[in-house]
Amino acid sequence: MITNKDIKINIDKIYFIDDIQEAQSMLEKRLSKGSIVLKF
Amino acid sequence: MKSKMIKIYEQGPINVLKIEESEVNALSQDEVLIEHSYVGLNFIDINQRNGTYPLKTLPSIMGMEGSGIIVETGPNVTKFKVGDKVTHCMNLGSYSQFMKLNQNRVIKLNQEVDLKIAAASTLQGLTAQYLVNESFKLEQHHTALIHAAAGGVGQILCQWAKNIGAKVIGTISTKEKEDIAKQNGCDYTINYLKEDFVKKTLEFTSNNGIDVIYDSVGKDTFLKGISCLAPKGRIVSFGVSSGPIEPININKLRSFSGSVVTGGLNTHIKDSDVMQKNADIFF
Repeated sequence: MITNKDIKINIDKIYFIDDIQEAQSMLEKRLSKGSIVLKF
Repeated sequence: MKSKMIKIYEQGPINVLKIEESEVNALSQDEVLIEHSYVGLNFIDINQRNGTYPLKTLPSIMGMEGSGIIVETGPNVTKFKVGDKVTHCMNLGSYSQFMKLNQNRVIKLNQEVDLKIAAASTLQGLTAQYLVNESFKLEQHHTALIHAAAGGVGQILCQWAKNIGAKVIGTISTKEKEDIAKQNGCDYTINYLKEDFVKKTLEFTSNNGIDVIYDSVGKDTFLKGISCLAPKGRIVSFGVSSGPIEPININKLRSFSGSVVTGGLNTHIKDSDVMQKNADIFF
């Protein structure tokens, strides 16, 4: 958990942009436990 | 300059997502060029890919949220300079290394804001902001039911509601998500796969009902939710992750002065100054 003012943002997983299908699949199946982010 | 991007040529299953590279066109006068560091994933991306939400044009670059650095500005740009840290949301095309945007669609960040956090929470934070301040003005004496409490918006919404001092009930689907929801401020959780959320909500509220339901689930929860609203209670529908909602019979709300409100972030951030002000509250 990372503090951002009074709200904590929980980033569950960071994927490389090439792994977009895996990233969307995780979100679509509601397997994520927080935000999902892609990086370049 | 070439930009890597994720494009779809048709709506459908996950394999319609294609990785491509193409040239970045010249900026128009009011545009900035952002080099994305991070891109946020949201359920709207899934709905746009699979066809639940229509897309105006195809092929289309996917993605509705990103953060990065301004690398070029058009001649009429006054709000930004090269090197500024920025974030944005609700602009289709963020699954791209470089993105051109009108300056009025971009949010300036303070230098200390982590770009990962910005990409993970711009859309969700601005959504939570309008839900608790505009769709239903949540106050300390209220009880709120938050569906998908362990999801992206859900976690922020639970914390925000708890910070206001409201009583918070969250629906979840697993023990692990129950722990997350409680860490984020839920007073009570309901596992909707094992328990009837209407029955449990009435139990948690001593049969008084709930003041507001923040519903991003849609088909599976929306109509059922009417049965556990308090007098003057409201359902705020801001997503349809389980599918579109069946038509509602307004007479079901009349006897207790209940109300239904829909929420769409675009409406709430149409004005550039309002969008920046609301983002400043959050960041």
